[in-house]
Amino acid sequence: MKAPSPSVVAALPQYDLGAQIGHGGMGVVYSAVHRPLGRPVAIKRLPGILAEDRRMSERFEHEARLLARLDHPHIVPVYDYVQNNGEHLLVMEKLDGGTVWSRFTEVGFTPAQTCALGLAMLSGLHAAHGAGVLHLDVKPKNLLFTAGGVLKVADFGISQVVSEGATLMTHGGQVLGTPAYLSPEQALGNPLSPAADVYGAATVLYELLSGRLPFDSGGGPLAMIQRHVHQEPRPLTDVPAPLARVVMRGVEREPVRRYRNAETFAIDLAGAAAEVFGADWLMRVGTPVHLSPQVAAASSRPATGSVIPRETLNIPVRGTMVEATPPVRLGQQTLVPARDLIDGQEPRPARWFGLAAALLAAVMVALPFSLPASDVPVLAVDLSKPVVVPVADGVTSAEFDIWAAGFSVARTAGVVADGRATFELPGAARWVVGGAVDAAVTTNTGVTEYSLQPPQNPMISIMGVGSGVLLLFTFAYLESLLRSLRRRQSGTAAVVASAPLGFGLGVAVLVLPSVLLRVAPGLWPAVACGVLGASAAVCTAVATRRAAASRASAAAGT
Amino acid sequence: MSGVGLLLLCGMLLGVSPAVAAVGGVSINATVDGKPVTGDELLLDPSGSARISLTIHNGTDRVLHVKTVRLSGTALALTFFSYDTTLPFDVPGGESVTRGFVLDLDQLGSQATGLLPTELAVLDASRDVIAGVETTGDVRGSVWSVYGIFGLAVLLLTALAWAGALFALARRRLPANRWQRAMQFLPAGIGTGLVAVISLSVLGVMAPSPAAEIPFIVVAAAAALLLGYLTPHPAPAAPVDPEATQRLTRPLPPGGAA
Repeated sequence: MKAPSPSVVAALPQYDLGAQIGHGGMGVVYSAVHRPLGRPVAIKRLPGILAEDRRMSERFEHEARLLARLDHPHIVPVYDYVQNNGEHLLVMEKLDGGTVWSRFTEVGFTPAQTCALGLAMLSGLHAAHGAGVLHLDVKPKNLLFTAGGVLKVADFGISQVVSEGATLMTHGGQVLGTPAYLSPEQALGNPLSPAADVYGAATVLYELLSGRLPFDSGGGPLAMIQRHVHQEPRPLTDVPAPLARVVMRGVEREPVRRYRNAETFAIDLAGAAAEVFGADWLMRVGTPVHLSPQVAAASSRPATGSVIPRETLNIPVRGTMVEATPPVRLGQQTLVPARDLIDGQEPRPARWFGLAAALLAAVMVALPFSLPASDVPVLAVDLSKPVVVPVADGVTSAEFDIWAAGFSVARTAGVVADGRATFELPGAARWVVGGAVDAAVTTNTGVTEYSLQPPQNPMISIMGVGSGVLLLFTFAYLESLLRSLRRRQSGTAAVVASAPLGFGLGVAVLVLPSVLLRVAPGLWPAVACGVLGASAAVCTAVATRRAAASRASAAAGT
Repeated sequence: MSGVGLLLLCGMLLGVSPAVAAVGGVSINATVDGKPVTGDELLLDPSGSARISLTIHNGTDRVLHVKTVRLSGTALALTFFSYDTTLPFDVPGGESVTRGFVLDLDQLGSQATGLLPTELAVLDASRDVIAGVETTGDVRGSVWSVYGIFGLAVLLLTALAWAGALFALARRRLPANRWQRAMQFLPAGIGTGLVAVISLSVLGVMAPSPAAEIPFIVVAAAAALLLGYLTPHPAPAAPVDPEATQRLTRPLPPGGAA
């Protein structure tokens, strides 16, 4: 744990500052003790990106005064606000009971507990709204517990004054907030109202009740908030319908379609909870909640009069941590939790796959050089000019076929005269053919095969350049996949993708030497090299994946 | 493949140059070492000299004052050799005049090699072209000529462009945007097309001309763009903690539909 910087110590002469106890996007929190009173406190240092913005720091000062006047059992009390030497420091009550997020991911909450916590959260938010302050960063990590289990809304670090009708846009055209809980109007920089906090609170309830967020959280922050702006949230399934209706109204995209304020949201939530869990649900849950009279009345009065048996609702919903924990990186490596390695299977050895890959690759490279020489006659002609082939007496019609690696390049009928057949080839043939290709002259008397070898430089052709580019491209692409496997950034998909790339590499390994050596590439050698290449690539990918798993396992063991 | 062939065929057909040119009623016929200068290839051997004979036909009613005869070769809009010979003579209106001279091509070997579009032109005192005849010069020069080195330089730059793009692919350093990845391969494709054009010229297969260059360069560039487009995303998106408060870029201007 880091000690506070000298500037923080200098700004708070009446406090004994302890170690850093928290860190987030909105600043660092230190433990401290107010020396004259001996009271333990938490000191939050506002982050530099906000502190250096003069308008923002002035707002903080103004809002700190408002927050200091907030006296509500579900809001973390602010004892002091210090602005000194560029430091902006909030002195708050120290809460030792953890956060809603930590408990959600460790033990989880039953739906009834979630509703009780939701009422406490909404009670605190409504009090803040009544004082003219919007929180705007409502999320499980900003809901803290005292040692006695009382929930308190904390971290008004980016809160706004309602009366100003302000937006939360910085001068750089950016907005502040937490992507998963950001309301659409906050994301767009539009004027804000208590409905923005209703959205955040409803998102928290959605998550605590279902174990997931209303929207996918992949693709980066921008993609996440765009979903909030443009898409409808996923329906809340596996949650009692009365609760789902209330929560889904809270995450409506249009602010006017949400609850007008936290109080009306709390009344409906309390009524739905009473309908689902029974009139005495809040007493049985045992979570300390301070409610307004209207909400307290609703909590003991089922919204529709009927009650769903509560025995089916006692299973805690727990955060899976999948969406919340970003991959941890050490250099280029992505670290995985040790338990994943300890609980999982032993990393399987990679050496057999490595050996197989080396063997297959060696055969693939050797194959083009070990093919038997063709014994068909060579036809060395310039394809930019008409091709003249001698034919036997009695031949009246002739057709010329050219193919490379089994694919037809050209087919043309010829003119037979004076014991010769003359063929005008398509212009493309001149540029496609490089080195040697198979050719055949089919006449009314039979078929004669040739090895067609244009005299031009074999690399001045699509076969020459194309096979070279294909070889380099597939090789680089495969190396790219292997790197992702070595860094454990991808898994089976990369292994599967390596197969077609290996096939392309194998074909290029056959065609390129064939072009240079002026040996016509055949279909089956090309297929054989492709299969060898695909097999070698897959074996290499599997070996790389296993080797990476072994390294990670070894690192976890140490 | 047929589309590629069609483009190449267009380039070949359109690449044929006129052998005799007429400017404002003035035409020119020429022979080099007794061989008529036509659309066929004109052998230019740097080891010797060329005897050039010109016949100017003046179809106008005014006298033409010829001052200079120019033999020049261009490729990719760049002039790689140019020989100016001062040969003053007049061509009366409605008449034809023939003149001959010997041109020493000693330095040609160090300036160009291969097939190049070549022009033999007569110029007036203000160096404006009176008339000219175009052909394809078959220069038997050195690979280390200016044109040869130009081709090697383009080849080197193209190899570097490919190496850069492929190393970036192998090292997963390509941009995250697919179109930007495609654009990173584009210079390599254009370079490949240029190398093909110059190689065909140097190897004496085909002289460069705009109609022949464009299909080669466009096809090679398109192929490289396609390869770049097919490259994989370099790395997974930066890890995002949906629980962390962040400074975020607005997806739309204020007032956008919420």
